[in-house]
Amino acid sequence: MTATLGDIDLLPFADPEYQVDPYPYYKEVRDLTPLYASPAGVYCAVRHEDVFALTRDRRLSSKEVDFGIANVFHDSILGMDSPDHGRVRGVSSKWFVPARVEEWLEETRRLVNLALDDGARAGGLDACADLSFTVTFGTMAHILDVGTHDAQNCREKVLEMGRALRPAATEQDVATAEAAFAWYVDYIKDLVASRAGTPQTGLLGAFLGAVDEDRMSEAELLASVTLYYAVGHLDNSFLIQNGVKILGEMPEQREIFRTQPDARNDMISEMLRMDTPEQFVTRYALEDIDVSGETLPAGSILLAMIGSANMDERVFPNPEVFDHTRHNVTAQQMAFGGGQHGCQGQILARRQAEVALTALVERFPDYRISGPVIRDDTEFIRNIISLPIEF
Amino acid sequence: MKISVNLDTCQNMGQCVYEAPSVFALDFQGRLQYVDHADDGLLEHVESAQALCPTQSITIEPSDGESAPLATSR
Repeated sequence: MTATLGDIDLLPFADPEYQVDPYPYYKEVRDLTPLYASPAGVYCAVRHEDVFALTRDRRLSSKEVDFGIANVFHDSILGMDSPDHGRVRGVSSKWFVPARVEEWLEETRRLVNLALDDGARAGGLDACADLSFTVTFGTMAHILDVGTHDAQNCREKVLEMGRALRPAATEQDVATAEAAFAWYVDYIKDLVASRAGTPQTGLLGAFLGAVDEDRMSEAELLASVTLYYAVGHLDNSFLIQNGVKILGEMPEQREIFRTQPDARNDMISEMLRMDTPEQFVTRYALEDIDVSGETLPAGSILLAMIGSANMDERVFPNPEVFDHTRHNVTAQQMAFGGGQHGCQGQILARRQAEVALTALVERFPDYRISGPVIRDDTEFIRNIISLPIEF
Repeated sequence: MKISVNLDTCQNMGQCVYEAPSVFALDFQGRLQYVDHADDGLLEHVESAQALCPTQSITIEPSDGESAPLATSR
């Protein structure tokens, strides 16, 4: 049955307990039904098999999703379907292919070393503010070839935006996010304007060139730069800080990571699987779609729960155990989504995490988590905002 | 045209499937399947797939390339 069971909401998005630890709730729904009709007015697919298929299903649209205050992102690849998606993604795709990623990693390495040098002098650092954020934000600025002024505002405003893009957002969240969006768009407009008449370097230059060639509109330019600037340091920073936490809590895993370079990619997959930064992706059903025997009705909104798929015991036995030797973790973990909207920065995000975590464990093999880990989780984003470590 | 995909580097991300669905597809296990010869009328779509490929795994050989004249000259 897709109906709710009486008055009990099995995925209570607004419940603080759910936001802190949604995983038992997912399990209950997975065992009950492949498709849960939430009283929040959305359908939730929870099993790996379905989430995997649905993220690749052409009958689901991103363009038709109402992003509300974030509607500016319909002018970016996030909110486009074919053929516009391919046209705009094609402008930036070659900037994130493996060979380019290796170039960007030189900047990542430089920033990681700076952060660790500062940390060495201070005896420790905050893995969020001093490492994961500075490294990912600085690398993306380098790729775009723009400065990093107002970095702290950029970090905070993105988190404010994220708080509004979820089923249980409050009016206050929406009002705050509206202001954050306005701030971001102005910031990006200034950034773009400051580049007028200068050589077209970096990814921003590529976008400007595409506008000149009529491959992109002005609105698509602004939305695209906003997207890369905003999310280019979001989920990848979560991955790094989550990795610092996991390796900090499990010295035996840290030792494997430090001494077995070949294991690192699968270990990063396992980090992504066990606490997926974004818990779902949102789509609009263009027609009735069968989900393992249940019907997702045309015109409805689907949350494909990648955070649940990644903990599905049908695909990952003993899902709560960190085990990078699972044969299928790299191939089947779903943290990057999949299909047309599969994360464009996934090769970069993985390699950044590998570079940052490797440098940390090689230089400070005995680092310790030295204070309270402060989380700011919602039903959408799993975020650590403070993670002090000591060397 | 002749199409080849380096399956050692391909990570089945499937961008190509959206650009040229008559050439590229993902099977039920999510693995890439493709046809290695396609009509030149599809060139624009296959080139778009090539440009979008996140791992740069697609190679295209247009059939009006050098191989045909070379063959007749011998």
